[in-house]
Amino acid sequence: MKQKTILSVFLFLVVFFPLMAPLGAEPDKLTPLKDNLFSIDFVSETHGWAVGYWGSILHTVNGGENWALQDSGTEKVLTSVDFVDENQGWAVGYGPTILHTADGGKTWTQQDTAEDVFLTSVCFMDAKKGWVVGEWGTVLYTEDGGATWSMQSAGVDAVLYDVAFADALNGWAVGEFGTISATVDGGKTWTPQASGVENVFFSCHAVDTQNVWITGIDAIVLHTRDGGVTWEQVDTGIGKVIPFYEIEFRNEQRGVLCGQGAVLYTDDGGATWRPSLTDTPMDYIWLYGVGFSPLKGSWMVGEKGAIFKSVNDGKGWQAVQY
Amino acid sequence: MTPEAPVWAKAAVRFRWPLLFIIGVVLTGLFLYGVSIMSVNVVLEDMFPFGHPFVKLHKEFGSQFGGASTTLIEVKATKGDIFNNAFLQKVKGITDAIVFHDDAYSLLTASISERKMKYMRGYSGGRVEMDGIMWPKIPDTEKEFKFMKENLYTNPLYNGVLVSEDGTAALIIGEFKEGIDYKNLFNFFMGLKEKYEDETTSLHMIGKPVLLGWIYSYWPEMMVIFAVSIGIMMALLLLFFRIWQGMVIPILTALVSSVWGLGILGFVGVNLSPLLFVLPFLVGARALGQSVQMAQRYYEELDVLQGNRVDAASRAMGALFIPGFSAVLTDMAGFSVCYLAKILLMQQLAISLTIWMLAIFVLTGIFTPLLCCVFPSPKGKFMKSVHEEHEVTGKHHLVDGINLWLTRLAIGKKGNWGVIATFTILYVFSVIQTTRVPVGDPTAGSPILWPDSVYNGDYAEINRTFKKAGADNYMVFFRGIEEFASKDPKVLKTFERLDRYMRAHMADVYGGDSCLYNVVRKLNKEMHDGNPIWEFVPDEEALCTSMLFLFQSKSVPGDLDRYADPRFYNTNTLMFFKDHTEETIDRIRASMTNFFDTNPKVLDGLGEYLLAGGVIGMETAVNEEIAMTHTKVNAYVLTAVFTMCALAYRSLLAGFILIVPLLLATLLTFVYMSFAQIGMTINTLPVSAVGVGVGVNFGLYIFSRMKEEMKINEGNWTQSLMITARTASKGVVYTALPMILPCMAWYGMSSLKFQAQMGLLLGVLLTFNMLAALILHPAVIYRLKPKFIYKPNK
Repeated sequence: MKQKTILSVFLFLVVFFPLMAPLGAEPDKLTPLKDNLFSIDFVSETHGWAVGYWGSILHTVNGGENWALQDSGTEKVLTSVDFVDENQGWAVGYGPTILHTADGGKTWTQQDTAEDVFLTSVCFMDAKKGWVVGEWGTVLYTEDGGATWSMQSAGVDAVLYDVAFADALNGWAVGEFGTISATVDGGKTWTPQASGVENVFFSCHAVDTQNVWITGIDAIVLHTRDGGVTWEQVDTGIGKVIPFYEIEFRNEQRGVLCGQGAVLYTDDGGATWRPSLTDTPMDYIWLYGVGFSPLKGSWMVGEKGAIFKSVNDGKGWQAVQY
Repeated sequence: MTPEAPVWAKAAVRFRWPLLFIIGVVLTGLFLYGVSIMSVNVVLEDMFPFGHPFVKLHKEFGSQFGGASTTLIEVKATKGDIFNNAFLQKVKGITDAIVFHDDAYSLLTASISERKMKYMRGYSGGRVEMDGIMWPKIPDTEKEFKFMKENLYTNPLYNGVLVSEDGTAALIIGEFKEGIDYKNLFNFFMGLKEKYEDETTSLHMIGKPVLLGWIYSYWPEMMVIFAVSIGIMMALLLLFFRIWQGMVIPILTALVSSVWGLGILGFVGVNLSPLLFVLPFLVGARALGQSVQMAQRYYEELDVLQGNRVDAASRAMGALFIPGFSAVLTDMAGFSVCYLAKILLMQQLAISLTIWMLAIFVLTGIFTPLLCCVFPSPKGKFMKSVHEEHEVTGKHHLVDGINLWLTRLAIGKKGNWGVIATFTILYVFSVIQTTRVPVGDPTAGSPILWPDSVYNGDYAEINRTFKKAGADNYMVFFRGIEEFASKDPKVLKTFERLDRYMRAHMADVYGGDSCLYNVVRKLNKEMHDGNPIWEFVPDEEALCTSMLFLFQSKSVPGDLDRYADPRFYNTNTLMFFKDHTEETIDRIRASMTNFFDTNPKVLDGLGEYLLAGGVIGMETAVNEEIAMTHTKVNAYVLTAVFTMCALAYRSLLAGFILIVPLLLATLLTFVYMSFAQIGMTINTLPVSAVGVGVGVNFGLYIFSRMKEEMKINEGNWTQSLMITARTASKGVVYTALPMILPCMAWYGMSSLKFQAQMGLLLGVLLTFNMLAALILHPAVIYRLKPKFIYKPNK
């Protein structure tokens, strides 16, 4: 009887022995990746979108306090975003990729285009009419919100990096080799304009049909006051040869210029440019996209998910996410 | 006492002088030669499981991409930053010294001063400028430093990897060959420190070659510790026996056994790592313990036989044959099952230590009693105390007093159940706790050294300073089936996707990667006027090829060797991690599985991804092998012990009773390991295995004595147990303490944390085994009164 007892105890203990197995690892917590951002667009003081590397689309509904990642369904680079209201928006990029949302970005769908090119910039005048530019002088145009895209040739064999319209008829597209192409008929015909330089242009902004700004590599800034008949170089006084990636104006007087390790602002229509104050060192990062919300917010995005906000039209910037 | 000695024992004693000559002179001389050819080098490859797919990959790609012997050297500016000519000259000097070192894979060396570390800048019109960051000229003017900073801080391949984000340190990554003289390499590293360190510069070095060098540097200290341990043993033996023979005979036996054992290691060709020095010491101590038991038994027989040394020696031999042989068999079982590990070093150890244990049986079973026989007999007080061993009342020696008290407690009315219950609770607790024993290194840095060691300080410093590099690396390979396969965008994008996956899932320990796709991304950007939107791997294979062609046209042969072979068949990604703890390794394993569940491992027409290499790859292979072997070793040893004990006493119950405390002792060892954060590694496995075997020796000794005493005392359990407490239990204490105390002493003396912890571990294990023999066995025997010990005549 006693022996049976001890044997039972032993067997009970032996049963425990196989429990000697290492505990499994804890499930990983996901860390959001800070991808490069190239473009930002706000349709109100609260609602904005930013797009960038690996198909990333960030969205805020509270003026940039929080940003949520939207599912773009692509791993391709998205280089430009444009929303016409809180629901309707487009993003373009490598692939070619044209994404459209009609519900503020909850769902994004790919729009078809026959052109197999890298699309770099998008500009919509309203929910129907918009333009996209890209490699090989490509200009795509839609009048039905992107359901169909038709080809418009800029008449150049260069990568176009930006397109901007002052109204439904007057627009400019800029890119490699000092290319400026302009339209006065809503894109039906594009006419090259003489920039006088061969620099690569990364960005253009049309304040109105006459007043247009262009910027690009080697810290170049061009300005026209006559709709592009003549372009003049503007000295920003930066004193170094860096690329400027974006120029944007809130109105005729107030504008922002950003690039490799530098942000400048003007409040006198571009007569003088001054370095912005930032709460984060920017010497070795690049800033690529600038956007203004309708009333007072200014936004800037760049390397490794950097998002900055300004409440004084670019005079001072605070890192929102960096 | 014992019945007549067996014939073989009588014959051995009769021919004692020739036998002593053969054992002490001829065989010992032969083994001394073995000692002289023994290698104490570390051969890393011997420590890897040879059949493991990761190890096979390491063999295939190791010389191409390095990985297992990576060394990181941080050159730190203690004042200001690194951007001054004098400091950069130092970085170049150290880099060059490594590049030109005979044991380095020169082309795999990475440093900002290397020619292959280029900056790329795109200018208007598609012009791309590409040149060395610090080559051919080391920057010397403010303008040049500014240019250099821009090039470093805007390139993800350098920023946070080869130069710290705060600009105060540069990192040099070296890859070294295996099977080299690590002592020489360590001297080389120390030479660099001596030459380049001053009030503005400090050097911090980590990696396997550095670690091994540090371990070797403690060699003189190890010798001192072993000498102190032997001194403690001698002092204890003198204290116990109070006669010089009691000290000299066991020590002599242990020394001869050590010569034999080390000689066997020499003949087998084991490369004895300094970390495994604990093992010979432990086995030597086992010889000492067995020898003490034999000597004690000899003196008991001498007392009974009134000074007849010849008969006393042969009777002692005969009496301890079964317990001695059984104990040795147990140890042999413990060691031999280490052969199951498919690791060359473990297999070599399994063979040599098994033979060594057999040698110990010969030495303690024959050599010790013969020495006792030829040494002068002790007289006076000592023999009087031996004579009084059968008296269980009256005034006693301290050890006897404690043993008798413990036995009384164990067989008392309440005490008996109390003891059994206590041990049962302890057992259940240990089983639960045992599940937490980590496999592999449980802490960041090296668990072999103390946290405040120079090495671990450097480890923390490098991890702190270089956010995107890490001391421990993991490699995933791609083996292409045709030329240029590794340049294909599909191949490169999968590597990038893997990097993103790791950054998302393991951001706390993942630093970053070094892979061909990083180069392609950077090239794509710079070829498009430096425009960041182009910084991606393009879809077109032709574009990737042309960009890499451009890079190569500006390079010298070998510049891309870190990323791919010259014909772009194979490529890899080198991922940096902050540690190689078990948890990190488990997470990496899970992440890789999950990643390749959703991303094809085989790319049609291109090739396949292969896991894994690098320090962590090899660590994973070893951990998997150890984890598998660890369970097998325990299962087989316990089965062997059970079978052997059951056969020795022809009783299943005997097997159970002897195995339970053993199981408990083993589990408690694991409990200690989990508390002390000692992982099960290639270094601890043999210690753990031999620990399983040590305990049974004490139990066998108690049981054999009980069997004898029950006959003499005609079935009086209490009287027999009390006499056993004064005789066999004393033998257990005398055997155990000279092993326990020196082991414990290591904890306070060793600069090697591993050695200190192993010492404490063994001390805990042996203490528990001793207590089980002194308390649990008497309690169980008294409770069960097993028939294999005494069967009353009806």
